[in-house]
Amino acid sequence: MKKLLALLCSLVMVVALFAGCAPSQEGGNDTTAATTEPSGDSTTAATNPEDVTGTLTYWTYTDNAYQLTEEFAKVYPNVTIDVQVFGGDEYKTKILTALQDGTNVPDIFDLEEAYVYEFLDSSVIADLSYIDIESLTANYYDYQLASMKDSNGNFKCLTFMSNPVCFWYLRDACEQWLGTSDPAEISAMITSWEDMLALQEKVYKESNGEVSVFGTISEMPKVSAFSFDPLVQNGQLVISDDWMGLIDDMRAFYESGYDPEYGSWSGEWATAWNAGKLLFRAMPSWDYFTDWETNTGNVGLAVPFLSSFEGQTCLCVYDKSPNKDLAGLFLSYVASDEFQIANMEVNNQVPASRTAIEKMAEGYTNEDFGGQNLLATYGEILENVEAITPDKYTRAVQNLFQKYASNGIKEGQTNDEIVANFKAALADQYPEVVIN
Amino acid sequence: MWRAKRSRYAYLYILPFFIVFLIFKLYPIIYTFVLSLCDMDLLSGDLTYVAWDNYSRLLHSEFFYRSIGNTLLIWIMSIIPQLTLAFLLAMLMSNKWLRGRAIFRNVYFFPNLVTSVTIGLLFGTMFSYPGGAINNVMSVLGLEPVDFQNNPMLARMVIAIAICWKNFGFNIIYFTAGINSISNEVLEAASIDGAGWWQKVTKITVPLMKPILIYVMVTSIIGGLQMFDESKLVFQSVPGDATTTMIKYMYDSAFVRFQFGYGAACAYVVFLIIMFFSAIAMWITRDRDKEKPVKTSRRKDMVKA
Repeated sequence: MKKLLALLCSLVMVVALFAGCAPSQEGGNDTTAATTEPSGDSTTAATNPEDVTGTLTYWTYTDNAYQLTEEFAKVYPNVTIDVQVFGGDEYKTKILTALQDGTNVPDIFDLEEAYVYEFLDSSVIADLSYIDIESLTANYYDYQLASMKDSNGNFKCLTFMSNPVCFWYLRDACEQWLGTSDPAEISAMITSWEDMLALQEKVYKESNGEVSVFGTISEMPKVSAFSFDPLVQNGQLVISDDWMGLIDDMRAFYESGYDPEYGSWSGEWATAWNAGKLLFRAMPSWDYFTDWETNTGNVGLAVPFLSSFEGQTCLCVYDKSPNKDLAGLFLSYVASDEFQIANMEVNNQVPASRTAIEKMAEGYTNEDFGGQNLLATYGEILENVEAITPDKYTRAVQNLFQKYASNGIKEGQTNDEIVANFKAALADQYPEVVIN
Repeated sequence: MWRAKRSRYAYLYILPFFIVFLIFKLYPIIYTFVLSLCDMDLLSGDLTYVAWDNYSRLLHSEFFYRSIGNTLLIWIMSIIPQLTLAFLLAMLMSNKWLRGRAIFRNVYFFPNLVTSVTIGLLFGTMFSYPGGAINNVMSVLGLEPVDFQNNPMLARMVIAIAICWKNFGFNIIYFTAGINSISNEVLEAASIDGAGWWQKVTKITVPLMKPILIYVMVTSIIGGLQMFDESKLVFQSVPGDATTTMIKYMYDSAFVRFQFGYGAACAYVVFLIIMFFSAIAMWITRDRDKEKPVKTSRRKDMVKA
């Protein structure tokens, strides 16, 4: 009896310990099973959107996904999308593990620009030619088309936002210190970093050091990042004169004595902006730092002298998904002008489609931005973003360059020392990159 | 016969632990070692054997050596005030005349309940430049604001303060338990023999707390050398990578750049480093009296003579 009891206790403990390892019954497995039956056929055969049925599992790192699914549900009310949001670094590891293992993989998933090119060459990510992606994105800007391809030139992901980097400015503060809040006049004032520095000096002196024009040198590469040749090309480091010139500009700014050096994305940076003590920020269109309650109607957008973008969200389809057709339908909807216009109207997310921007731009105004025609401004920037085909090094090495340039300047290093330290760090992190 | 039966029951009782240990501890330890000898394809998970290449790369990396130095510096800057403060407060709170000891003990323990992420962000905000809380206080006192983030040593110091603040309350619990376990009779006898407060602390309290001190020291080394959260979160970018610790270096390699084989090699080397420093700590704090039995017997012989 005792022996039996001991055995029973042991079994109970083992079962209890492994209970947490059981696959979630609410998660992908059940969903997949439930959607197997209504998958491709109902999608392709249905002509009426209301006749399309099924369930998709969608993994993402941002709750913006709910905006997509809500809009999609308005058109396809009988398709259920199970959105699962995983925050922070956890998401990367989670999607990687699922794709490696091949179990419990979502039908569609988001990958962030920072690491998407580590994933795109994989055969488990569907080649989107099966939904005629080239036709769907025929109106996209060239840089976006370049950014959605793997290293063999196949379309493996879809983006639906443009994320152009603008100079955001405070209208009332610019009126007070620069004498104008007109976007065209402000844009004309800043045609180079020298112009920005001259304004910085003027405003700093007139305000007795209370007000700054630009907050930190760390943000300067953000404006230039995609206008210069990539630092790593075909596996080799190439530092062009543009990048060296950028170090000189950053140094001039820092050593001027007018640089407030608010940390990038820091509390001070946001506080100074929200309090009207910082006139400009280089910011992608998806800004979340602005205190809209305080600054509603008081923000303006100026066209920077170089065109860039930051923070693409890339939608991918799992190649072995039993709901691949339904996933394709979702992506086709997201690529449409109809969705992207709605996404702009509701969420201020700039369309990826040139025609969507052009359709909206005529007569468009936005009261949050003082009645400015944002889409005309964004459209002007987007036409000039270079069509660089990124790879896994592009953004990571830009960020590394920015870090070593900023820190080196603050430590008083020469340009040669900065470049030497940057090269050493690059060699340590990516030993396969050829560095001369 | 009965003993043999009883032993079999014992195996059953410890079976759950060993099953979990084998699957969740031993297997990852072995797998990590195998991984450290390979390069992993990111999405297929296929391993390519590269022998000791990852270890060779690691041992030639000046950035890894720098991360070891950073870890040790931050650890030393945090552990010395942490243990000193904890010991002094534990001594203070062991006095029966002090009212509200339980409240103090709880209050000191509260920071330990706060997650490392929260502490990291909190200290980052407090010590930010130019308008963080600390710089605001300095401005009120007429001092110039200090850019803690862009000064390597000050940045390390801020992280050390954060770690110290989080953990000193936890060590107070250990030290208080150690002090309370000392018999009152011993202390009273010492008082009768004319020992003062300082003599009682140095000759009775500290020697009798030695096992606790060794435990706290070894766990502090293991925990301290694994520091990660605070170093990652307090400041985003410090000149000279001054706050990049060994574990942060490993994390960046494995989970930011997806170099899992290299990250695994890094994990093994970190394990050896921690083992090395733990062995040193145990050697320094070893019981020297037990190593001198001959001298004791000679002294006894002399007394007899």
